[in-house]
Amino acid sequence: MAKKGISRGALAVWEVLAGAAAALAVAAVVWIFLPRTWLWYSLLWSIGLVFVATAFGYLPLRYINCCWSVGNSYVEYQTGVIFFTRRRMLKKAIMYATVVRDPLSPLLGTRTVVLSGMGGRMVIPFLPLRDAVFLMREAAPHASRGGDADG
Amino acid sequence: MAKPKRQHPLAVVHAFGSYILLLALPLLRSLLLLREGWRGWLSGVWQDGLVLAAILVFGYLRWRMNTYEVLEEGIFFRDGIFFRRSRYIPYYSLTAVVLERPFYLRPFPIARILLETDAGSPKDPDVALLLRQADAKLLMAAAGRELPGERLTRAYTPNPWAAAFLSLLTSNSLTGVLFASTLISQTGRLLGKEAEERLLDSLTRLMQLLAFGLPPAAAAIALILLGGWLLSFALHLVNHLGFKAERRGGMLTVRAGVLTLRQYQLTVKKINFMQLRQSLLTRLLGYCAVLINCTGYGKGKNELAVLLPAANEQELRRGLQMVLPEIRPGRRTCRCLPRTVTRFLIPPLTLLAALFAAVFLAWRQLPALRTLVFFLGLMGVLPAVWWFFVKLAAFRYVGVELKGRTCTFRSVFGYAFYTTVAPADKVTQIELRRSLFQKMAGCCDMVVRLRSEKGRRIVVQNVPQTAADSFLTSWAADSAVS
Repeated sequence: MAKKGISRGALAVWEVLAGAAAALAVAAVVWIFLPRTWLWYSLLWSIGLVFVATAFGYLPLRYINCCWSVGNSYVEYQTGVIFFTRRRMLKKAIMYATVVRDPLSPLLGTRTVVLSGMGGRMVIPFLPLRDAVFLMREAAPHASRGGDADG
Repeated sequence: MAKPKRQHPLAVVHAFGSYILLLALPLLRSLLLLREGWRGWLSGVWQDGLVLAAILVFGYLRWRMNTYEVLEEGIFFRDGIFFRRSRYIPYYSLTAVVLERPFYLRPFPIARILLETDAGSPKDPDVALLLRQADAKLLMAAAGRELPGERLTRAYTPNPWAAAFLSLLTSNSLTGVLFASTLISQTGRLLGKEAEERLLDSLTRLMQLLAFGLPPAAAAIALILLGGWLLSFALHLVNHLGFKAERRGGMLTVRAGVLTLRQYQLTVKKINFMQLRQSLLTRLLGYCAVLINCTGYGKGKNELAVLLPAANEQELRRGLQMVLPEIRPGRRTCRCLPRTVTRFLIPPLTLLAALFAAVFLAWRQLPALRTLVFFLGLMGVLPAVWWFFVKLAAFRYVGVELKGRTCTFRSVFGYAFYTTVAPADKVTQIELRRSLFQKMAGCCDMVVRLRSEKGRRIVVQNVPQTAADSFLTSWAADSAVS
């Protein structure tokens, strides 16, 4: 099966979180340090640079690299930019699959799928609802027939 | 239809343990009434009697309500007083049956039996029963009779020094130090503060006697570490003396122990993986200890899941052929790329440089403590140098192989070399992890998660990327076929 990506909602959530973190850091610098000193300027510039690199470089790359696929005998999920990981789990080793719905899930139309096996588990976040149901049925067919993936 | 049976009546005493907390009530009452004199205390003794009676009655009821039936295809258990619980464990789900005879039970024909499955708590057995020895043996026989395979018994008895070798390889100071500190504090609690102080005084005097011209703090550290290690060594030795492994059909029986005699009956197809463990020294000598992972085996405190306590290459081949021919380690075919040698050596070299810098600084800044600084510096540098040699050897050791349906992973963690051999379908998950530097060097780390009750994880470092990719593809394809 071809590789599939995660929901675009994931990128939106990460960008919002990065923005919030940058805003908090700026507020902390403004509150703690003396204004218009060299330290104050360099900290604000650093935060700005890190935010731009993260929001326009790291996060889009991370989003592009996040993908999953289901083979005849395995489920694969890959992610990461600086540390790239490719994780493969045997379908046979999956004991049960869990679909998690968080407070943002109804808004984004996504679910997180957790595949649990004896000895390890695989978490695939931000899957579109239809993909989550498909993955659950494909990964643990004996356990999830008829599941509506509502968590 | 089998008749429900009960545990040995001595289990009543064991059941008291569950209600021992109730003793806090008389204790609390005594503490509160201590100021009012013994008359006040005596007037309420009936309340203490009631609590003791409750413990006795609940202990008895617990024993009475706890029954088991050995059926054709499994064992049926019932327990609980207010909340009745019924459980059925089929024989095919059992991974291990353990028969224990601690020294204090040996005068009586009683044995403790533990049943283990892949489900349940990773710390405690699924079922623990105190039975008459004859009943325990019947239960063990019933659990083992369904296992297929030839009925010929093949036994492996290692050399007498093998248990000592294994203890040497697996002992660490921390276990011993923890054991000793618990022993000292418990002595104080049981025999009083004076006994604890006397014991500590004797230990201090022994330390002064043994410290030949060393700074007292350094001598204390060295002796605590050495003493802890010796204690841990003794604990391991006592648990693994008298080791013997027997193979009969689909069942592997292991006997070990001196103070507590243990007999493990393992289902061979439930063995998750086998691990060959070596240190740098034993690797140079060509010896290794072979351990297996099977739920229930080696679960107790200071127990190890040993298959062959000590073996050289020839003994390893012979021993495995006798007791576990299904799982054989593959030959090392995948080699690290020469340019990745720096990835192995940079961490110990960095540590050494940092240590030398720290010792140099301390030497200059603390002239009064130079002897101590020199001693601690030496103690710090020696393990770092040792680690350097371990990492150098690791470069020629790590790798992954897939032969038939058996995966072999060679990894190094700390100072130990591990060769882990697992059937392909017992490998739960494989992860290839690559940093930007590893991408440039054309290698990656392989993180393997194996089927195991405690979730065992192995990291094989700096595997060539091409070898890792082809391993991943063949592993998934092979598992689909099997």
